[in-house]
Amino acid sequence: MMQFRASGGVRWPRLSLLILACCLCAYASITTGGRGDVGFWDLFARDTLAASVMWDIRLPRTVVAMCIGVNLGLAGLILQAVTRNPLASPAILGVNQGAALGLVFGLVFAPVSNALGLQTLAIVGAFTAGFITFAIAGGLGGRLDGLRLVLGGVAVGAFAYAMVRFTFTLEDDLSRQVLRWTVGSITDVRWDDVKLIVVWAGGGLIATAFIAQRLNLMALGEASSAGLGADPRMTLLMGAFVAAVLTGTSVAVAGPIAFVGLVVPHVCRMLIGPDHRRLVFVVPIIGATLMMAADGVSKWLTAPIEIPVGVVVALIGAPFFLCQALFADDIE
Amino acid sequence: MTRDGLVFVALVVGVLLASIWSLSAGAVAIEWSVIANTLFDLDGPKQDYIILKSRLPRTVLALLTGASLALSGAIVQALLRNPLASPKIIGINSGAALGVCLMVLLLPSVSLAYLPIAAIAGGILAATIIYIGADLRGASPARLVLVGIAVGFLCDAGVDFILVTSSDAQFSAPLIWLTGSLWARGWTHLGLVWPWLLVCIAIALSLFYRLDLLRLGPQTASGLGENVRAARLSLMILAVLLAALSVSVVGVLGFVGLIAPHIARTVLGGGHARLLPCAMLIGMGLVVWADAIGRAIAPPIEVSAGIVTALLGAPFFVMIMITTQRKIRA
Amino acid sequence: MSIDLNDVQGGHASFQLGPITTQIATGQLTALIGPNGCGKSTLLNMIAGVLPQTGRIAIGGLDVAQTPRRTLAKHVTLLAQNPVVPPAISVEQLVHYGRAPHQNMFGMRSSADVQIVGDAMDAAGISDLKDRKLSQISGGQRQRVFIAMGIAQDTPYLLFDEPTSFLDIRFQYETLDLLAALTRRGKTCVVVLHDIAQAARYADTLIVMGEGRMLAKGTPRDVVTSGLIRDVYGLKVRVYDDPETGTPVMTPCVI
Repeated sequence: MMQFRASGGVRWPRLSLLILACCLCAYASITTGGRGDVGFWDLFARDTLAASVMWDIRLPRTVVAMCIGVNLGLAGLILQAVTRNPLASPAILGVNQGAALGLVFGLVFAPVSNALGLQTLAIVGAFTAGFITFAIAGGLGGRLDGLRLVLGGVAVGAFAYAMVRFTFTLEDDLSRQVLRWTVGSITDVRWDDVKLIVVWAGGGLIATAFIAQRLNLMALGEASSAGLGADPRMTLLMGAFVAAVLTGTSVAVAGPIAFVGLVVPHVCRMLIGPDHRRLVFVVPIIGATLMMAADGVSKWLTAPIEIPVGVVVALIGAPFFLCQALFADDIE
Repeated sequence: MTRDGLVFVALVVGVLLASIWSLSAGAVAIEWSVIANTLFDLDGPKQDYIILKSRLPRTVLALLTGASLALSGAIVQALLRNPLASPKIIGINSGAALGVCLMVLLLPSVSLAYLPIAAIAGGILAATIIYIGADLRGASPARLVLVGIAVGFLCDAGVDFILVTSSDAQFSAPLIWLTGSLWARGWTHLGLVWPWLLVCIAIALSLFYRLDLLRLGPQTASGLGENVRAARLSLMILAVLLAALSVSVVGVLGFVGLIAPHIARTVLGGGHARLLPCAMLIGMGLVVWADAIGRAIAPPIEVSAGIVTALLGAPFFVMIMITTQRKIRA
Repeated sequence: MSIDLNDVQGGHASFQLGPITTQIATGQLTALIGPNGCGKSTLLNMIAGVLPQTGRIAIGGLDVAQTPRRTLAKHVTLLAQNPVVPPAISVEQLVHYGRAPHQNMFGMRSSADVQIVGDAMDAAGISDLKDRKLSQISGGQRQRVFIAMGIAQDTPYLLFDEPTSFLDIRFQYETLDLLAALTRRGKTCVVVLHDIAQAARYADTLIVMGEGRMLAKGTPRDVVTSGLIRDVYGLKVRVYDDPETGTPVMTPCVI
């Protein structure tokens, strides 16, 4: 599986630069915050208030940001591979919003309040939304139309989003908190939330690495992929399941954060090419970097007011998507 | 009578019934006889205030905006040659939201009565940017869709940014207004837009043949004598105006522009000579129904029409899924 | 009056066409042939005025770039290579679209229109399909419906971009026979064809293109030689006469 030499070798200088960038952003994320006097070294200052701020508030937040970057980046990578569409991503296919809807349903209607139950609902919502988009695009009949996929995803996402807003209005109008959650926010995460998501980030990484070669073969088309021994339906199902889990768990912790799944795989492909066996390891790094950088910016840009990290990512990702839409050459 | 004729009769009857129900439903349930008395000035008990001042303008506005949204959606679907397109794709909704937020943010002293202008300006501006951007690179349907979605996301991000970084007290009223509702819309609102809407609707209906020819693709349409570029531009402008005018008075009524033409195509098929009026009638029925249902469901609470139309999206998706699969298997 | 091409040039980033200067005679069937990517479709679309070009193209005296589209459409018909097929309209309706340049903006049908459409459907052999929806007929039938639409447009000049693709061999030759019949009636047909033997059999003049330039022009007998096939297509062939028609046919040499 790890045949780096066969595909040209790992370019260590590049990889080291990426890891360096990741560490820098981790540092930025951990050192920005409401209290300007709490710095990096306070991590090691035992039993002080500053250390408590670092360990109980900032560190879990940075770790969650990192995990979300890993999860959503990988989810985007998988979705782009199984739909053979470089514009697929959890937000554009409506998967993000479906997860949010599943979660909100659980909060408001079902008497489910334990974390695992909510996560499950988010995953179910993610999978259902993805399935509907897929079906609308003709996937069940075997021919997936790229444009219909995007349009269907937008429609499904819009519908799920409208339902989320509506469900919240039933629940006594928690408007400001609701708004912050629906744009994606990690303001109030603590170690409990970290425990929820770290497991899935690790598991998702391993699962994606397992299907990496299958994802490579998907790019050759359904018939060729089957001819090479990788049943495309199986790949699709496995990939969709992993993507739904990754998305659902991210949404359960932080709400729907868009564009990570779109931007990160794209950038990684530009840097190291289309081989999923290598992408699987670079996408998490870049994803984590992006999220932690966004986290830092979200705390720093309009201090002391904090911009929810989802908005920061959107303000980076939306122009990126616009440039893609305007300048990509393979749109006929 | 042919099948198509029957469909049209059924639709007209449906719209009429919906309108009558709209007049009778709400916090104060009004019987049909009272409605008749009020409207035609007959002897007997009347409800002048509620019917003439509140529900009648509201129902008429619902009919007009339903028609304009449906036609806008039909045009966009023909231009983009894709049955899943909608006015949302050309940036109207997101642009209107951004326009409204910018107005509240930058000109807080301006009264809320000017919101429609901000909405229409934002929507038209967004659509213009989308069209120019896509046109720079060939304005193919795929390009238009992607640029439209991208600009929509950008406007949404802007709206979110504004909302989370300011005190939300000033935004709650505009936001509620923007979520698509006919609540408290009266003759003044109607007066703002009805001439423009009627003109645009009439023009849209008369352009059915142009839409037919454009649907054959740019080469064939050119070969048949159409100036494809000019036709696309003028039809886009028309679709934008139809949607923006509607958004300016009732806010964002999602899915009408997507659902109405799609249902029309499934039920009727064929050229736009029949599709456009059919979609228009379906759109009118949808909005009037949504508004009436919103009032009738739990009086005196009103569920806004925008939410009801969003709820209608669910069975609609099921329908598209089924028809898509059937078409592929055929 | 011929189709005049003067210094025609154009294309996009990855492909440049021209400059090409030539004349296409009226009342004849002219075939454009050449390897994939040589620009024959591009040139045809430029002649139709659908693609931009620098230079001057005049069809029967009408400058393609200056003439309003509607006027041009009454003189020139284009059948594009992969036309968009709206699934839910009927065959008859599609053929009627061919009358659009002659109709008002509402597409109202005159009795002349109905007559011409009926004749066009008969000529293309699809009259029995007239009420079927386009989604319900086969690819080959659909191609003939589009040809009927082209005939219904009733113009002196007809441009066809690979009209025989998707067709079974019988229908390929029936289509080409149809084009030949149209030419005999006095129309001018310019056809992009993939099959050299078919082009040689039906065309009065062949234009061979390669890499965006015009490489040869003349009667099939003059143009289809083993030397030219080797230069343009990179294949060694022996050229001989078709036993049915006497036109050049080729067969690859055994190495």
